[in-house]
Amino acid sequence: MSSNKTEDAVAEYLHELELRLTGLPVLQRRELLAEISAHISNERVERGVTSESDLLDLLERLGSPEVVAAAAYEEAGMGEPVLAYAGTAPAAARSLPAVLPPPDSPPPAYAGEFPPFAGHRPYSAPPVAGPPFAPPPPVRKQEDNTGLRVVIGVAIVTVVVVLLGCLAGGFLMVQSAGSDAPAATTVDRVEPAPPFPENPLVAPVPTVE
Amino acid sequence: MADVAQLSTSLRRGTLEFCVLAMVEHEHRYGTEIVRRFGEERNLAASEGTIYPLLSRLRRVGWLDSKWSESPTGPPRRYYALTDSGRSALEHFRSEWVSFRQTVDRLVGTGGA
Repeated sequence: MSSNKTEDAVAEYLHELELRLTGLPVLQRRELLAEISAHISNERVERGVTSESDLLDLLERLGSPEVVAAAAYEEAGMGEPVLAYAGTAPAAARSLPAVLPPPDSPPPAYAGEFPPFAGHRPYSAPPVAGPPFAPPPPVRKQEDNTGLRVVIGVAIVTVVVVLLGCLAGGFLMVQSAGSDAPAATTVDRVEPAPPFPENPLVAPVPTVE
Repeated sequence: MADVAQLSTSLRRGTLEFCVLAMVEHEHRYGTEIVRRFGEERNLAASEGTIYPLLSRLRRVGWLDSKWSESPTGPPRRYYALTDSGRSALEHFRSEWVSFRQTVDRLVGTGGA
């Protein structure tokens, strides 16, 4: 029974570690798991570790899977893994980006809330980073709105002007063609086609003429 | 407490790897042996499992070489040895460390002790 229990503890430890190393390049992951596994075997054989409590001591000296995995990512130059973390520090680090977008309105509230959770240093940054992000959006929105309005206005004016020009030209053509020849009937069918759909927009023109 | 742990972590960073290099300077040692040796140094005490990623990096940057060898008792052992570039890195650290230590001693007031 006890040997089964110790085997379970080792297997569980290695499994927990492997789960946390998924972000590492496969060869580094395999290498580390093999080394840790060999370390446990060596210690058990050479130090006569048999009881469950001795084995748990051994695993404790190794460090928790979170600690070992964090060291592995650091030595691999990969920073903190994004996934598979139960450690407190990484969790806090990850919550910061998630909090950044909202600071638009209440940055002071966050500045007040964070320090009590843990160390002051890591948390002093986000409030500082928050305000710079906050002011721009409103400004951009205003700029965007006014810009859009101007663009839309100009577009409408140009469209109306062009349509007016087209209609005026079209009617002049129709009138001159109508007075000229019998072929005007065919021209009539072709020419009025474009104006018709746009008539509602340019209703005043015919009345002017 | 957190600050104390932070301090020893910061001090260890950048120095521990040269302690590892020095440990295999004159004889090859296998991973568990290196880890045990560190376990005996209370000032350097880190979680033993974190030494292996360090060994892995030192091997990747070419300061350590490793060779597998059968063990009479347990699983195969990976023996580490210093490479030429590892040796020169260690020599460089030694001269830097002496002047660094003297400067810190002078500024912090620990030189006379």
